[in-house]
Amino acid sequence: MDTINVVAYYFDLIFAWIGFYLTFIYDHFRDFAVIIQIASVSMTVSILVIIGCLLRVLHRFRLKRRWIRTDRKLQKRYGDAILYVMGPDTNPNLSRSDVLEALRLTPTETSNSRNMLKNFREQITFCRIVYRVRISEEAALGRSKNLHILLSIFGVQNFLEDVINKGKLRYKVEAMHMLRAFKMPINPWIANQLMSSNRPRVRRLSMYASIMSNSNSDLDYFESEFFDNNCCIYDEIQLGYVLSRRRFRKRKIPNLAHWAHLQKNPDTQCVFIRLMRQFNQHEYCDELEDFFQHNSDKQLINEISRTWGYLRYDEGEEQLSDTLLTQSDEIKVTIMHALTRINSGKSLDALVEGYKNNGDPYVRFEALRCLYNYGDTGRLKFAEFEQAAQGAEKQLFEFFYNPLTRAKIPLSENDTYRPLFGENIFSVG
Amino acid sequence: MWISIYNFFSYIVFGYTITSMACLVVLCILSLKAQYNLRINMPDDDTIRYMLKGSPLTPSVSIIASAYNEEHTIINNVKSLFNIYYPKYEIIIVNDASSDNTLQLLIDEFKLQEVPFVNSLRVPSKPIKHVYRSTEEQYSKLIVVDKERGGRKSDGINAGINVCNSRYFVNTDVDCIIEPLAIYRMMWHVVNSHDPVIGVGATMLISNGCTIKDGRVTQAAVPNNPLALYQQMEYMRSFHISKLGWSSLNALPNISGGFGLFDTEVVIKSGGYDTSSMAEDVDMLLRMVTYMKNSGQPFRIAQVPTVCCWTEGPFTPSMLYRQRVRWARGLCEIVSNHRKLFFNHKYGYFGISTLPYIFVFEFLAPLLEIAGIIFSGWLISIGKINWETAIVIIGMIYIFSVSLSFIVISFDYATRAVQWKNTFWSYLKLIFAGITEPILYHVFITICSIRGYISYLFNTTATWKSIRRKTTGAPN
Repeated sequence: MDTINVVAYYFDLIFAWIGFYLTFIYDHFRDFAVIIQIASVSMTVSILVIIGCLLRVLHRFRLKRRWIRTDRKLQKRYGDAILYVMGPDTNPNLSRSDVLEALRLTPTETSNSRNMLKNFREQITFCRIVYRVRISEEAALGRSKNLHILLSIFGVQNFLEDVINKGKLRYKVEAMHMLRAFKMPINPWIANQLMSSNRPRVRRLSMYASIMSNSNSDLDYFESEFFDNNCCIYDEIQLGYVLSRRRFRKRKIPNLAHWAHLQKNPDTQCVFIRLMRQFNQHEYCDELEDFFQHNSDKQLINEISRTWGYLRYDEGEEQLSDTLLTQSDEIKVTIMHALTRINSGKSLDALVEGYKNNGDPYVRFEALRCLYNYGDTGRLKFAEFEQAAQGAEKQLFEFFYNPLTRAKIPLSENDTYRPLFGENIFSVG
Repeated sequence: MWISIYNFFSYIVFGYTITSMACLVVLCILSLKAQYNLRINMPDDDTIRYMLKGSPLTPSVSIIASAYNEEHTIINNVKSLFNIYYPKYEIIIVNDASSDNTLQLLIDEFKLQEVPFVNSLRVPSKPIKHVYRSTEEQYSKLIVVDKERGGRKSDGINAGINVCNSRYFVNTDVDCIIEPLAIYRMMWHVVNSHDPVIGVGATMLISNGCTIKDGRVTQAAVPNNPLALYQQMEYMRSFHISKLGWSSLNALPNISGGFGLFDTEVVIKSGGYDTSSMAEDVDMLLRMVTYMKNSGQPFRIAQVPTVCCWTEGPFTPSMLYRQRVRWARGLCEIVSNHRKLFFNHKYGYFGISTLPYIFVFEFLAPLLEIAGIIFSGWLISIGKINWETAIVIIGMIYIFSVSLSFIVISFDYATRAVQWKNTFWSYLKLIFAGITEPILYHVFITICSIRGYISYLFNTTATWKSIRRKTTGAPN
């Protein structure tokens, strides 16, 4: 009660001073010109801003010191144990008692996680320490079992779910990142609740968490009212990640061509078509045929061509070679790469046309590379062109033979499949 | 009549001052909003790195830097560029026909070998003579372009664009010290945006006084040199309030020429850098905006609030004078060349707010300030000045200016844009700079601006002169 009185007294005092100052200003300047009155008000506000900024810095300085102290304390207490449990030289299948021993804790101490981590600050700091190790140490990826034992000892999952449910917005986002990195499932009820958040980022994070953890859910989110029919690269990365987790757990990957059909935005359609490559969905390639035939969106045509090439969809070869010469330079190159990957021997003429009927040195160079990789017949044609090359054409062959400029056609699934703008001469990465 | 002129001038100038202050308050509020959003939406560096490191979708970046007669520092500076953490990048150094040993040193040090090159002139630049690549595995990402003398940085960057292979490129100077995670921080905005990001600006601070080891700033420090200190305060104000504020409206008018990320395709379609411009960075961005708006495409221009790059600021008055005269000339060129955009609602916030603000409160301000000083001097000389009013108005402007500096300091601390060495003394120095800057530094900058305007008006030939450097990003 005394504290409240003291605080109230100081508040009264501050308000009295402000009141006095404002009265003084008013009395002093009321007969002055408007300019002077405005200037005096402005000065008063500026002085208050200066004081406010100073107080803000001091307040933050105090808070920051507290967080740093907590971090140091927990690092000192558990830092080595965490590094040991997730370290490269540790047995990846430690038992609970081994982890407890590393933490120098007894089972009775662990009966209540509050004994180990007293308050919110300590809990979130502990999570951050583990998270930092998890995402920065390569070896930690192979120590998932140890990690989950460690996290279960400290009741991290319950804590993070509490934060997601009731915490401040920035802690919610942080907790969702942590759950993802710790590969922990999220309570479906909480995930569904967050999907109606007015923050697009929270909605999406919860959607990915939900797809990853719920075995029954399909990609329903993309049909729901919460989806704004627009995907960015980050969404694509996340979607690829959560689907790969499903594959890892031997759960079914939905038909992505079907989902591409359901979308209205070509960018989002492209995302699903790219994902088809990542998840090797050769069996659904035929569903893209009508897209290829009845669509004028260049990006979409480009993605379908690339996907057919990567998945070696023979049935699409004819359509690809038929449209080769009518497409833009970027798509021409993609189609030629696709034909080279399919490599059935039927598209030699198309590649030759690709070389002959183009003024752009980039397209001609890529056509040459494709011919070189197109079996014996392609190699013969390449040699023929080399013999006949003159002037600037010779330079293309110089490129080809120079070890510093000769780039390979990415043939494996792991190679980058998004075209780099102007990757005409050198390859990046 | 004199009284009428006097009254008119007083009220106009006072109205102008109040409006300018109101605009700055609005920018502060916008900046605060942007910071709040970034705090929620932008994860920490480790998380960004974790997400983008192994993804095949992470976009590639070309880092383009132009060099002219940099034989003393080039090797160390290029090596410092290799400190960057990013999975897909290449470094393009453009030698603008240096008359010293710059190219030979590069060839010897990095074991460069000439490679054939078809000059597909995507943007105008002086002819490229040779293209070199390193035969050493550790420098395999290095490309050196030797070209005919263009005389401007913009020509060098255009030559780099003609060679670059990536969807995005970073325009920087060879002597800039880039933070290892800078590209990740910038790329976050690219991968996390639903509209195509055509440019990302990054916070850039003065490296004078910092501890630099192996091409990295190991300990950030506030400079002791007063000129550098004032510039630090000025940079912080510009990046934390102005640029961040405008970026929240998606109307950022300038991505610093020292360090900025651009969409290669949009730059090419906009015609590349103007090789005759003194403010090639602002000019480029405005042409990109014009292109996007005219073609009806949505776009975003983002700003990173944390420090991504360090550059050495001029530390003598003559160097600073030269730099600021050049900047003022550049501003005149921008106002003149892009006048169609001003007050044109077709260009959205750019046309109706950012560019008018630049014209009214950045371009006209030095003229009005100098006019005010001359007018006050005349009033004093004839004994007609009302000292009470003068003191109140000067006090209002001064205290407002100081309060802005305090807001910047508070933002800097809140965003943890940089971890200063000896935090308490660093902030004390910055506070000192904030308090004295309006009296000592601002007047000097105003004079430089006027000199720049005059040189533009009389079409005095302007040339780029390299700034003498004290520190470099030199690895030991």
